[in-house]
Amino acid sequence: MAPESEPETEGRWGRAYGLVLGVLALEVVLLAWMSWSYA
Amino acid sequence: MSGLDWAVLVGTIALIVAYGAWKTRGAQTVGSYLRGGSDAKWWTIGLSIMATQASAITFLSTPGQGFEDGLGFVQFYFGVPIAMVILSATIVPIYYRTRVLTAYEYLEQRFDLKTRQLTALIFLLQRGLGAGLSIYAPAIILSTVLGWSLLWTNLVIGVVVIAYTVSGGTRAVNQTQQLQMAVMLGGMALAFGYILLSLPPQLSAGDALELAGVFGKMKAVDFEPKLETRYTFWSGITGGTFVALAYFGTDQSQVQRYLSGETLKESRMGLLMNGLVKVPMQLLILGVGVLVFVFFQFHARPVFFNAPELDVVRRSDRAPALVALEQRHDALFEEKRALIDQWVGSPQGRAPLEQQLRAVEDRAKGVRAETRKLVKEVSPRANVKDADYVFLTFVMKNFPPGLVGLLLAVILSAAMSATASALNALGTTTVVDFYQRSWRPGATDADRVRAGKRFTVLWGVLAMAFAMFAAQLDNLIQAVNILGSIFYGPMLGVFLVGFFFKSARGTPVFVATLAAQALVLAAFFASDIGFLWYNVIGCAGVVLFTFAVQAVMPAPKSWENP
Repeated sequence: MAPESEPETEGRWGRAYGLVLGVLALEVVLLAWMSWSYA
Repeated sequence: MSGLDWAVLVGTIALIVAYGAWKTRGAQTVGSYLRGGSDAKWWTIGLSIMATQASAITFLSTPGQGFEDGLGFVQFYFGVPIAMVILSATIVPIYYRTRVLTAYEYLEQRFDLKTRQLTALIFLLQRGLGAGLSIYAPAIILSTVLGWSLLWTNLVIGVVVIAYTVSGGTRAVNQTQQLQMAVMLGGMALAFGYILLSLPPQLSAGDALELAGVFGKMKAVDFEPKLETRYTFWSGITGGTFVALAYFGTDQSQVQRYLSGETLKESRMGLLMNGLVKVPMQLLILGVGVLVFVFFQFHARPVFFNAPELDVVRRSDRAPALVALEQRHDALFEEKRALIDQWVGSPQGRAPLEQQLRAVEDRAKGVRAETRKLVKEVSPRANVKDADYVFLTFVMKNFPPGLVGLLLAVILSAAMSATASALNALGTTTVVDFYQRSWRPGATDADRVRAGKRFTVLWGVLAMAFAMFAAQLDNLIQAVNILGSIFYGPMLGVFLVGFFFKSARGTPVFVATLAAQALVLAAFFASDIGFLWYNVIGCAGVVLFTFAVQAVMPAPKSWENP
């Protein structure tokens, strides 16, 4: 558990978090569409 | 089971254990044994986190849930990516900054010893039972379907896991979990492909999904806000987020996985990897169950999947009633089969056929309900929820030699990976939060490693003992989730108060935790609230009670002694 090798910019992590949440939103939309179209 | 299946099964498990032993050979320090050497990369952490959560129940019960109820269970996992982001941004950096070995150690730095040891005790209790269930659940199903001895199945899973967890500690758990996860994902993807290819050639993949949709199996998302419905979008993103925050943020079996990271960055990336992969992975496993359902629209299914229980009825004087039920079920299958052939052959004008199909399926469900009643009448202690038996029964009857062995390796790998993380964390928490803190404060590094090994063995033996005596539970995965939800809410509440409410003091938090735990138990025993909401109730309870107690309790004169 070493300290960070280089200072992490918050912006980069913000984009990583945005990516994860964006993928989740996309999955929910796709699943909702699937639920609706195969209902 | 064929010789090839045994070779694949034993070979896969032996390879994984040997790899773990080889990677962790050599002398051990507290750092390498309890923390895994602090050199894990993000993919090791990510796979290890996923393998810890994926127990054998995941691969036995989840396809069964897909088969019975469709894809709706996936909503439970919507909270995971949200929780991964929150944990990466808030709690994980605090664990790194405070250089703790267990999550509960942080609580002494923030509050006091009694709060640390209360939460550690709740963890030991809950995870100790969980470890027993993670051995028992696959053992009972494997022994029922394959005719293996329950005692020996329990013993083999338990002893192998104890051996490599004790010998190699956290590092061995992390290393073996990489291979176990590869076997699990590879095995399920192969199973998915094989079932898809086993469907009749005239049925396209699109038709298969549409047919599943006719019976309501494709309803993955439910936006209706109903408290009694167990899995909805709303319970998933609220209750599911709370349970994921509590599980990944405060359960030592998970915290220990990402605290083994080389840097904070590796740990965060490992968690985010889990956030990206979890929903598709669960969808794949549920999808396997839905495909099995479609398969059984073209091949007769048993009226009840737990064959040994059915055999008990067959040997009793109620056998004629069972034969009559089976005949009715078979006749309904033929009727449905004829309608499905028409449905496949007429892409236009399917709607009236679909209504008829649903009506026939409802009648078949009625026959299955009568069968369950009959099974219960003949053996009152029988487990009549047969969903957990669907997938393994299907695999044994329909998969080719070799693939059967691989799927059994998937189930045993999952059992071992979840149990190994649990035992590793139980041993570590006992050493760090009790042994070195209160029982033997002057213990040397070597003493602590030795104690770690002994406590891991002790927890392993307790888990096996619990597994041998556990009574049959309705639906195993839900039992584990419900058990978690009872304890996780208050646990998360303590950590949230610690992280975000600077004015909160030790004794009010301690009292509030006990009160919130009592509230959740009251909700469990005396209300119909869906279990995912226990997480919210327990967590909110700790926060509110802390401030209520603090309002009536005078603040101590010195902040150093709250």
